[in-house]
Amino acid sequence: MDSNDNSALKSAEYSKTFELKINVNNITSSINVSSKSKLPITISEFLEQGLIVNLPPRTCSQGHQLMLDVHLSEGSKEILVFNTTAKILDIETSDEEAIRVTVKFVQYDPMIWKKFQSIYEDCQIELQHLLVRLKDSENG
Amino acid sequence: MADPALEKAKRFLGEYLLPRKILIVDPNGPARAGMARMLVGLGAKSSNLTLVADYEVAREVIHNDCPDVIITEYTITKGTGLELAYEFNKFKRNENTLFVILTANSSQSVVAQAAEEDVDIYILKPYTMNYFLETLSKAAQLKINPTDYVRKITLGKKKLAENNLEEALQYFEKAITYSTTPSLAYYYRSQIEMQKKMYDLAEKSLEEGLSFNEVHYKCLTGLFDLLLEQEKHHEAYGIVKRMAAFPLNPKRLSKVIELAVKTAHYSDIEKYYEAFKEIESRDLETVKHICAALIVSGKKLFQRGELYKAASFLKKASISAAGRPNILLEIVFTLSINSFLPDAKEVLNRFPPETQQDYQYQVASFLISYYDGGNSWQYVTWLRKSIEQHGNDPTLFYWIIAALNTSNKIDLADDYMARAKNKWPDQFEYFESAVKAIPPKKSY
Repeated sequence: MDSNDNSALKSAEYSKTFELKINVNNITSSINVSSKSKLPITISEFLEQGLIVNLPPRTCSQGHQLMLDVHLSEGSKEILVFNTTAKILDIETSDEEAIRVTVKFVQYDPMIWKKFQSIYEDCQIELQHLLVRLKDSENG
Repeated sequence: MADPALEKAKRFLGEYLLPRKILIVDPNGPARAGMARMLVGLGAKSSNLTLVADYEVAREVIHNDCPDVIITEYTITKGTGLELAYEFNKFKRNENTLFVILTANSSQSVVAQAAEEDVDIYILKPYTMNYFLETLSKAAQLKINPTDYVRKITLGKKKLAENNLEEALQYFEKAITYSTTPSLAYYYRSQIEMQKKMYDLAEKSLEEGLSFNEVHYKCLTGLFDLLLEQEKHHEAYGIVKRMAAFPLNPKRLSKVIELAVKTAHYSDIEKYYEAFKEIESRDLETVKHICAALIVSGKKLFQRGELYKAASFLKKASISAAGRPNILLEIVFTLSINSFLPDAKEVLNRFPPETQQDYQYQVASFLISYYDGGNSWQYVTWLRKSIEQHGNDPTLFYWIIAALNTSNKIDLADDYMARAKNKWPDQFEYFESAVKAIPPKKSY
């Protein structure tokens, strides 16, 4: 009475997730920022030629230069590597575990940067469309 | 050069946000502040903004202030954004509210959960501010200028939340006339019929909804829930197959797994296990369900002679059990009585060190030793000592009775049986069943 493969859930299809691994070095102070972090370093926003990243506190200052090494995987497969040298424009601090750092690229590959953004944009559009479709919230 | 569409979106958002109360939830302080600054820059009033870091405080704000817009991280202290969405839905909302989740989680199964909690916007991080603003604007416009169909449904949902079923029904009936594909209206009509326990009508409404769109998610999930409620297990499992086009809401996974076992779809269990492994935060209920399903399926597969597949299922169960002694004992028991002793010994190693003085570990060790022809009596001795020290567990009595019978110490076993029945007279049959609990060793 067992069902065939087609009838069961295609679980693998819906479990693809992106994983971003970011390694950060402070070139100015020669600190490996990543090693100071209890939590993974994350990127919050894409800027036009920069990023807003969450870094461990007391690892950098405004004006410092960072080297960011970003690896993007989908499931177990690495799909993109983005390396950049960037300057810190702004730091917002709090008494919590991460600081919010705005960086502007000094050196980067524009083609890979464009690909990085478009991978996320495509995924965002897909997820939002999926949400709307599941809710049937645009039916009219 | 300014993008005209973006500028238009910003102007619209300024007007939309101005009178509205906004709650921003994010454990990261600068992120909260950055979002607040951006919203105020668009036109929101800073006095209308509330910024919080954790779930409990956010819940209080929802209960007391009824915000119109909530922008929350998925992962927040002491909870999740989805749990917050659930809370938000329980409270009286006007038609124009928005619930936004920001997350680094791109899993479509989480989106399925978000859809069921009526989240309006799911933003994947990292995002561009332009995308965020355009998406927010689009969602807000749909709320402010809904179609007549959506307006009737929204009004109906409000009445449904107020438990005003008759007025809600009128709105949904009206909504049906406003669309050429009113599947959603039929879904909500079915919810009223279900509340009234008019199950046949509810099923008819859902099938009606599916006639316009055979893969309408809400109608399918509604039908699944309805058939489950009526214990129509095979029909409900049939709906699972129809839902294969959609990601599985992890909350529904437990029910689907249970159904798969009840309807003997054992080979599907492996696929659900793969889905289970991908879930980031697994609740205890789901863990128990997947372990139970793997164990039950494993037992059935042993009965059918599919030995290696059975052992593989039990191995997966032992990994998912995450050190829970009762589950591990059940797995060791099943493997041992089917003569998969090396596998049983591997599972024995999964008992955490702090549990190895507990009876489950000792019983598991006894079983392996007994079936391996070793000195199992040492474990029986330990169990007897354990009863004298911690005599309040009927399961411990069960196993000592079983072990003593297996070791041919019938008088001792009868003595423990009498003590157990005296202590727990309502579990008479349970203790009686212990006599034959440990079957003789099989040979393949």
